[in-house]
Amino acid sequence: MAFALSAERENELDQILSRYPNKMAACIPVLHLCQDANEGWVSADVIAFVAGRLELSTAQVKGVVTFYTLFNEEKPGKHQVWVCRTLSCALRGSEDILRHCEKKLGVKQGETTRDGKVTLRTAECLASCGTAPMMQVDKKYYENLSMTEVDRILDRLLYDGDA
Amino acid sequence: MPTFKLDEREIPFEKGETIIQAAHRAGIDIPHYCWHPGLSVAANCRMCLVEIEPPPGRPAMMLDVLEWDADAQDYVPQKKPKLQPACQFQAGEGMVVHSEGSKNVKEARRAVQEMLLLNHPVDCPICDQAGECRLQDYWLEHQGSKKRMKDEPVHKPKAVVFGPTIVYDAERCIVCTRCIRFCDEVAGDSVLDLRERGNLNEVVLAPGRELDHDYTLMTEYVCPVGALTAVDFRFKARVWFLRSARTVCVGCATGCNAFLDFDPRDQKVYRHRPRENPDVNKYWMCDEGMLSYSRVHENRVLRAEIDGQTIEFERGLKKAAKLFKSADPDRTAIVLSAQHSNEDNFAMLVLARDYIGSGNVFVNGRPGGDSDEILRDADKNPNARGVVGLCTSAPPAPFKELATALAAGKFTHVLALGSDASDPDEVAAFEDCENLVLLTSHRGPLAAHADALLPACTWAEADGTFVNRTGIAQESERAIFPHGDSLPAWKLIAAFGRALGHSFGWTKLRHVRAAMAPDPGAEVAADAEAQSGAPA
Ligand code: SF4
Ligand code: SF4
Ligand code: FES
Ligand code: FES
Repeated sequence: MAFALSAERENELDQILSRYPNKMAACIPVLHLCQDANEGWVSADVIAFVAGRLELSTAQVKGVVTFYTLFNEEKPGKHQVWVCRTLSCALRGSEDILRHCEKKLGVKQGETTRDGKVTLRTAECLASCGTAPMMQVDKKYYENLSMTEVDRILDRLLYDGDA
Repeated sequence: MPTFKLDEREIPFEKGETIIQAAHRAGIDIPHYCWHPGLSVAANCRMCLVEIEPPPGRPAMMLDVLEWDADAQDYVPQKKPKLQPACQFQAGEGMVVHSEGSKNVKEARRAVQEMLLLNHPVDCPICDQAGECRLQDYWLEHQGSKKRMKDEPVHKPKAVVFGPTIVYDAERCIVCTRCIRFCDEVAGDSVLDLRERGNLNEVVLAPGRELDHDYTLMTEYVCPVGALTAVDFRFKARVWFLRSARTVCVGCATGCNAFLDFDPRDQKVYRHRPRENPDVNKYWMCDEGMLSYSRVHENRVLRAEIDGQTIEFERGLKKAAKLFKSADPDRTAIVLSAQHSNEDNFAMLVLARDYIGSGNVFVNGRPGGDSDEILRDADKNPNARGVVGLCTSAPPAPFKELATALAAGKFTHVLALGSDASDPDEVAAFEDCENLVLLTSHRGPLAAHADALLPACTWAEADGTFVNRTGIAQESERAIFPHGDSLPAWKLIAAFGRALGHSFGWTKLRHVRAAMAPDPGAEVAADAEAQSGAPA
């Protein structure tokens, strides 16, 4: 079924558009809006919808979606975990953290747990190097991680459904 | 005109022009991948970096870098000027620019070149672009060193089918975005874009789409490397065996300037690609035109035929002439062809007027088709304007009138150049034509009703002049030698005239051209051309 926004979100879209000099410039915020309205991912329908609204080609919208890692091309789990793997975090043990997460969740990076609760990913530097190693869960940063801390966070996601 | 200095040379420029544009016009090549004179500036490949001196009295913009010092066996701090992309930087009055002359520029180009090849498969032996690939040319000119990266290169999709005509290899792609910009800006169909970023960058189709507009081969042609290849040309030839004739496309009335690439060893044509002409086609051609070369080898009439039987050429010529010996000029129709050059049509007119004495002149050609606002014209003939221009006394009557006249039994004899039917519905009228002689390169719709077929050359096998839709007369050069028994049509017409018993003496193209434009200048030019090895 073709993708559409609720009346409320349509309002938000209009507001976003009014903030930019042209429609193309609004591409990223509009994609976020639509991703949120579509269970956290950008389907082909969403791309077609956004392209239509912003008078872009679907190829251009697809380019933006794939450029930014915050847009999902597949439906993610209820929560998304990003383990930073860039230099500072790498020096402070991010590889071990990632491996630990993979083992505990029973998935490889990029995959979603079978119950659909958690998607595990890696990220490039999240600009929190001073508190490495770190990871991001949904919209929140968790810094100065230890394995116990990681366990606690994941347990909460898996059993309580909230970090 | 203001000027700037490029490696000690004064280069004139127009206000607003970039350094590379002005240099290009002055015949100086600044190495580049992503810049194309007919597309917008992307400045993403960094191959065109140049060093620009700061304006007098201003300090140069310097960058702190670490440079490997072989003697010290260590990295030492250094300062280097910030280089600028010549494709994006606008020229300014009195600017001093160093390209070849700068050590920093040389080093930058070497580094850019090394980077572009880091993940490249270097599979040149199986790449169609080999021999005309910028990665190969610039490696030799600007790098010349071994690859230092020891890691496994990034792997990406190979042989991705983009559509019926084009195949994409992401590992060979240097992500210059020329193909994307061409589709956006020239073809007007934003069907391509990039996905991901960094070394995962890759050109992709719009979801659910194929690369299927009318300029897909051109999309391939702007690719500076072997990432896009044309299905039509894949694994067909090594480009270094091909030679190029300067042709004019005969696909439609636009008359795009082209190169026809042929192999002199097997005398076959392999590819048709654009030749720059700002007044006609700029840098482009359409798919139809780029593929039209294949007609040179398809459906040809290569031997004389009488009543459907192949016959030795001279005998065929005699027999065909015999059909016309007792023809009544008033009941004889002469058919010109908008597919053929001015020279061919002029010969036909001279035969009609001076020897046969018939004023019943018609014009034929290929039927009309699609057009667009970019290049393609609805008239699928390259020389309709030329034919009309040659008929000074009265314009030639359309093919349809000939069909009507034939149906009314008005003509007993028809001598036609070509065997097309500009009006395919009218072909049946030729069935009862008593004496139909066709001088033709192809077995077109009229051929089935012919009493005699005499083999003419295609445009690829003869020199000729074509007048395009805006009235520009353009010369097209012979690529290959005539196939089979075929002759350039003007020559065939003269031979037919002689077989009729007339003293039609033309044997060289310059004889025709001299008769067309009896001014001494033309003769000299034509003679010079004959001496330079161009065929008669
Ligand atoms: S396919 Fe060719 S033209 Fe297109 S981005 Fe890659 S290298 Fe450039
Ligand atoms: S526009 Fe016409 S002349 Fe130009 S390439 Fe296409 S068919 Fe040939
Ligand atoms: S390297 Fe992990 S936050 Fe910067
Ligand atoms: S030509 Fe590519 S950056 Fe200038």
